Amino acid sequence: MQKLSRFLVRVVERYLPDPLLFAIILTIVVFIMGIGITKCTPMEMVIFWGDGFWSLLAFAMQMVLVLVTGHTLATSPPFEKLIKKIATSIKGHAHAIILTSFVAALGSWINWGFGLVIGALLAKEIAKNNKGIDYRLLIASAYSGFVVWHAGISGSAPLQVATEGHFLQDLIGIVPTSQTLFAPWNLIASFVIIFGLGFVNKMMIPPEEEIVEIDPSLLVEEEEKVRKMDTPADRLENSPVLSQLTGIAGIVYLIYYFATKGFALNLNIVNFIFMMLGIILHGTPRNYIDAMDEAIKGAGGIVLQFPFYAGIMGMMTDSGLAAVMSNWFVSISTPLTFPFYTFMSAGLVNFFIPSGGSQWAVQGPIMVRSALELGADPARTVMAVAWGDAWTNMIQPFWALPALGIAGLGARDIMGYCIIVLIFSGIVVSLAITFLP
Amino acid sequence: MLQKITQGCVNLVQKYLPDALIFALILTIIVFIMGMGLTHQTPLAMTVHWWNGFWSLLAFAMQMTLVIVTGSTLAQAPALKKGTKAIASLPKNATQAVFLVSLVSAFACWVNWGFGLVIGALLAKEVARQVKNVDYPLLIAGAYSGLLVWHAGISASIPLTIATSGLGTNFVEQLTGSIVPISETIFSPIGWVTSWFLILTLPLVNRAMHPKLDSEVKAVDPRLLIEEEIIEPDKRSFTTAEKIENSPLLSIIIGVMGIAALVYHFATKGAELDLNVVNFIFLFASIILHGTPKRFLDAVTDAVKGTAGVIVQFPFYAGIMGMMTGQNAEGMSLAIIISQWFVNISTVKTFPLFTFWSAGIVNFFVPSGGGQWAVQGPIMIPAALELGVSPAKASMAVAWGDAWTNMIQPFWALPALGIAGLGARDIMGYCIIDLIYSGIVISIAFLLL
Repeated sequence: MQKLSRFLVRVVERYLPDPLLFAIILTIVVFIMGIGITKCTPMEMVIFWGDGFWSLLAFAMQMVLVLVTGHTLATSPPFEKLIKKIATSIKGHAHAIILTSFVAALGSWINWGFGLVIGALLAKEIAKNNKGIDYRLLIASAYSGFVVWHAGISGSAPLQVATEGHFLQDLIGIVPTSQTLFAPWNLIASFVIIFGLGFVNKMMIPPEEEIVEIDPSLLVEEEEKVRKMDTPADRLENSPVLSQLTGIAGIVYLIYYFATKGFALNLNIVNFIFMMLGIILHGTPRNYIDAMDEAIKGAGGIVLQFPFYAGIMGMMTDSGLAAVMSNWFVSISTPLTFPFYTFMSAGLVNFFIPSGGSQWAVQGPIMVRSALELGADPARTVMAVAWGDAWTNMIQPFWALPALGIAGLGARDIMGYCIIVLIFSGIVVSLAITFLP
Repeated sequence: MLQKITQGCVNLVQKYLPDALIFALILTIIVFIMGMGLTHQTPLAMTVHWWNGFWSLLAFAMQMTLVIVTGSTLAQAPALKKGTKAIASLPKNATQAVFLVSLVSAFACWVNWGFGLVIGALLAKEVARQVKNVDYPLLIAGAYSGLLVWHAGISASIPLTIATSGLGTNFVEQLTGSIVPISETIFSPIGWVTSWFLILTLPLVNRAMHPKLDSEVKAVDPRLLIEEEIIEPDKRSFTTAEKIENSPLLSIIIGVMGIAALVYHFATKGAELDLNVVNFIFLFASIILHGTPKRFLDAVTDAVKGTAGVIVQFPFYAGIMGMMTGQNAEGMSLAIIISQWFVNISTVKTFPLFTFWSAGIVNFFVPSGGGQWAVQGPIMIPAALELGVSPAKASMAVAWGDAWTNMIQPFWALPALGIAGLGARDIMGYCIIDLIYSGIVISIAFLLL
């Protein structure tokens, strides 16, 4: 097992360039396939590409908002306190691993930006307060929770198909989250993984002589920022009045929304919840602005890659390539095996398109068409793509980077442990998606 | 004299203007209360209007984010740096520097506002590097002040809308049955005489505001200007992944595709430059000019830090718009009430002037030009027809008002501030003077032309 993990880490580090380059390579591949397979002219392909390029602007903004609102919530004072409290109550190595895995998985299920950050912060705090804990496994546990994000209530694909005006509305209409996120099989699979993850990770605790503790240089406390309070403007920025007024208005609306529309989640409502919670819990506008400045640093990839994937989507659908590929899927699968194949293929595609929303833009049109032709359930297909996208993140380090940045580790330190999580979650999801209602 | 007033304004703003997000939050509360008082709506109804607007500018927010990211990434490209350096070395002293930046950006905004918004800020930053003892906030304010003329320039959205047949927002055509050619709007005297007068005199006003004493000059924070040294990495130790990232091959291929798409766009649609096209040009220019993907990606990582303001604040402005335009049971909204109040006190002679002022006030709450036209067009155009004022002139009055109060509304300044690394309170003091000056010029223009 250790050999396999070392090999994979090496492959990933040697051969996986920045995801933007995959976006460009994929653009070129699809461009050529459009000319070769669907007999479009190069000029036509360029037009399809240009037409698609800016077609997902609003979706991209929603994805950025999921990340930054989740990130800012995790760094708010009440959560910092909670983390400190948990970290000082740890009894023993196994307890630390199980608890970190659980908090990270639950957090990711609620909001992936939130889960990624809160997991890493908790792990670091635990390492700071407890001796004899393997820091690499601890951070790996924090990151492993990310495997459930796309089946949770910030999942891009299921929320997007629940939002009015989504890009597959002509084919499948609006799919409520009761058929995707809150379908029994999905809840069961999520439940098993969220609770089982800690025990899987616990089994990987190394023997005492091989334990690598946290590097003490990572434990330097950051200096508390001193707030200037010289001018009326400064006082206003550091007063909680505006934040709380805004927060109250937000909560009033949320109550109204859920009272009149039922528990109907979509991207906008999820982002709204997290933004308002962040504003309230950070206390003052100045704190929120500072937290936002920090959170935004991780958004470059989403901002930049989305247009390219939108361009690929434009080429795939307009040239007819999407239809050709979905026919191919139809020819090899039955309604029973289709969700499983979709899950596997999504896992593969995720290597090249780590951003869940982008992957959905490229793969969604293909898989949904196949599902309709086969008579498979489109809602389950959406979730199959979602699970596949989250699944192989365990061996594709792109999303681990923010967590690793907080932790001060490299991808190779944690990837070996994550492979075991990959196998465990792969089995759970495959069974649930195929056999459970 | 002018410098004393300016310094007074600058100090006042420094003291009392909080971060732009606070500004948006306060506006939210004001509009919320005004809506309850003036249109007699319940707090819940106002909250629902707020929500209905809140996420309505998502795509637009992404476009503005991309303006910042692609603009500042391009500015970091070596070839472009050489170009701006050459221009930036023209001014001999601080006042010439302010003059140059204001002139270039006003002209660029007249040609295309999206373009002007970025170019001005980029040039200002480079000038700050080259010219000693120049007031950096004033430079950025000068770059931003050019936006005053955008809505009378050739990318002006209201004049272009009423010149296009069949649009849902062409309220003039819907009422009169005929479109208004741009010769009656952008290229009528109230359009081109006013805007060119401003393009040529605004730089003088900005120049006159420059502090005389070196001790009063707020120089640029040197940390903002640190030149990233390009360290040539050791090519022999590259992994395959690093080889791809440091090879120009992929940049060139995707660059060629980008150019092909642009050529097609301009060949079939003429010189149409919307925000998407501007972003596209900037994005692909920077991919090509940075040479290798690695250098491009590093520049992006840096550029994205300036985008937090847009991402947080746009939803709030969208929410304010939702409350301004949210109607009560009788079909009245705040924006309608404000506009009608001005209509009621107007005569044929004063109508364009009052329309300009009312548009200025509405713009303060609905900064997006398209949104403002959707609110005010349906009120102002019928009123103009009833009074016998030409709809072309009434439309220009809304357009000028929309551009005018942008000087004291940080919404449009956010991209420039993101690129510059400044806050709204650094530049707004100067912008107030520009607001007063241009307000007088435009008001007189509406009475005379």
